[in-house]
Amino acid sequence: MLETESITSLAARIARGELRAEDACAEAFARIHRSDRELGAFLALTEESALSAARDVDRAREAGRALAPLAGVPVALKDSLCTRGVPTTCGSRILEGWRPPYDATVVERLREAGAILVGKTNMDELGMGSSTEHSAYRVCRNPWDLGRTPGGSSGGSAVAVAARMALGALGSDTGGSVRQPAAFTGTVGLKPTYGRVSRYGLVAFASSLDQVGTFATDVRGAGALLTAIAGADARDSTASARAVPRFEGACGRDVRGLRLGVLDEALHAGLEPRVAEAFDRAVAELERLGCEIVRISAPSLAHAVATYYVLATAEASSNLARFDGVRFGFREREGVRHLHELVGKSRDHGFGAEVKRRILLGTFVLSADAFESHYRKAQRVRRLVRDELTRALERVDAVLSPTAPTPAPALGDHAGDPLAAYLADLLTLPASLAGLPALSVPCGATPEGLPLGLQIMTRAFDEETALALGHAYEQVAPRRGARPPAAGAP
Amino acid sequence: MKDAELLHLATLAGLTLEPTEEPRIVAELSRVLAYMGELGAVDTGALEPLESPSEGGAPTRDDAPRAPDAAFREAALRAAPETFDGAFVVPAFLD
Repeated sequence: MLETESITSLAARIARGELRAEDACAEAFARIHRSDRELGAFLALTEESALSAARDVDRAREAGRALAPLAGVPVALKDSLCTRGVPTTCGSRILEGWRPPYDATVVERLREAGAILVGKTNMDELGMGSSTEHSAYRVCRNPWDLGRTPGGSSGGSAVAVAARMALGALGSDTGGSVRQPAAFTGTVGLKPTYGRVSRYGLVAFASSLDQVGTFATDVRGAGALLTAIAGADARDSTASARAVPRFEGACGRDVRGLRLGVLDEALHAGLEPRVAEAFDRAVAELERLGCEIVRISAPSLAHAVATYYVLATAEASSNLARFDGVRFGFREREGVRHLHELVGKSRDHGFGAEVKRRILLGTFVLSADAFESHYRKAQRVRRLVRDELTRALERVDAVLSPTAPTPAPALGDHAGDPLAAYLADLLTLPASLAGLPALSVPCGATPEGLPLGLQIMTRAFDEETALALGHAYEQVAPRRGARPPAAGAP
Repeated sequence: MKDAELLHLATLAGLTLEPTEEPRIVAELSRVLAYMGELGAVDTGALEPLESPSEGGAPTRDDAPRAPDAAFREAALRAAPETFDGAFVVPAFLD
């Protein structure tokens, strides 16, 4: 069932009584138990509560009650989303065993929408990483090639969907952490406009950049998940009060006549030839579908990596100050006689190397001597990036680029060279800095079978145009319906 | 970056680094900071810093106290490493 259904088709068939939610749920867990020891997508499972919720859906339908929009659809949650009573570790030892006393807003909304929450997914520790290799718990492998990463930081969510252990998943995207793993795993990943979705209950990494994003097997499903979770929230003052459209309704809209900008800077971003070829073919397909292709330039994008890593590390160093061993999470007890030793050793032993590196970088750029030259400077460059992209999007309806400059790297490829890992985020960072929505859709693969992604970035709060374009392209994309070798049916 | 600078940063960041970590961290941070330093050459003219892409600024809520949530408080205390009589227990912090 989960091999062939999508979020929206499964929800529709369950609502019509053609399929049972309990069967979909049972299949999800059969797949998880069969495949996840090898794939490492999950850190915690919620099998009992999921089956109970699925049976409730079936009983409601049999009693003739109207079902919620996503009733019966198995969905996974990134482990940075607070889930009441369920271990929420953010992939870090600093939160080992912590069970939140509340649900994140997006988790509440998914429950209200009837989704069946199957478990918490693996991730780079506290969202910091692009490969899920910085998880403190277990390796996460790409189902298309088990020797490669699925990307990150939302790698577990991407793998859960790619291997059909769930039909949808939530991730979080600060600098590309939904879009890039979607590209690497052949799934659809959507980062909404900053402020489209409440961040209440998302463990904060960089508060001016973080957004909850959606993974699905198709563009329509990514849109349907966004419909369920988007909207104002009194508990997050940055969540927009704008009305929430039915995003999946944009799929099927006529895209003829839309003007699509191809970024000069993306074409010169050190793309691997296989990525450049796949991107060129995708652009040609969109032109065949009736879109007009326009070359555009945004020179400030060359500074996106440096800008992002100044600002994101600064915000992270502030946000992660709360992890001190006092009120929750890991507390070091050995050799601790004084409060400052408790705090210092708990943090040093609870955080991994990448997190400590970013905290120290952020502390530096916020320190008195560097504040103006680094932090404030980066904020000015951020405005430059935002303004250039906004001006470009006055001339075009969407901006196209590959989602990543390479296919999924091998496990261990960037070990010992954090800067190389940071530079690979070049293509996803601009949308994050500018707060714009961006969608990654599969656009074929390398000759070795590694998936590649096309990124579609649109104006603020215009996720619908991205979804319309993504859906139109999806119908003609190469290798549509291909399945990864390490995710066979149970 | 020099070792003394790293120790100062670690103090500010509330991190007690193991001595074996320090040389690697100094090398890594030096490389990344050199890259970040290139931003100094970018012409940002009279642009104001952009603190957040959020539209419309920060809305305020009613200036009224919220009722305390006893159940939430109990759940939060249960998740703490060590408590006593509703308070978080820590080692000495006064010499």
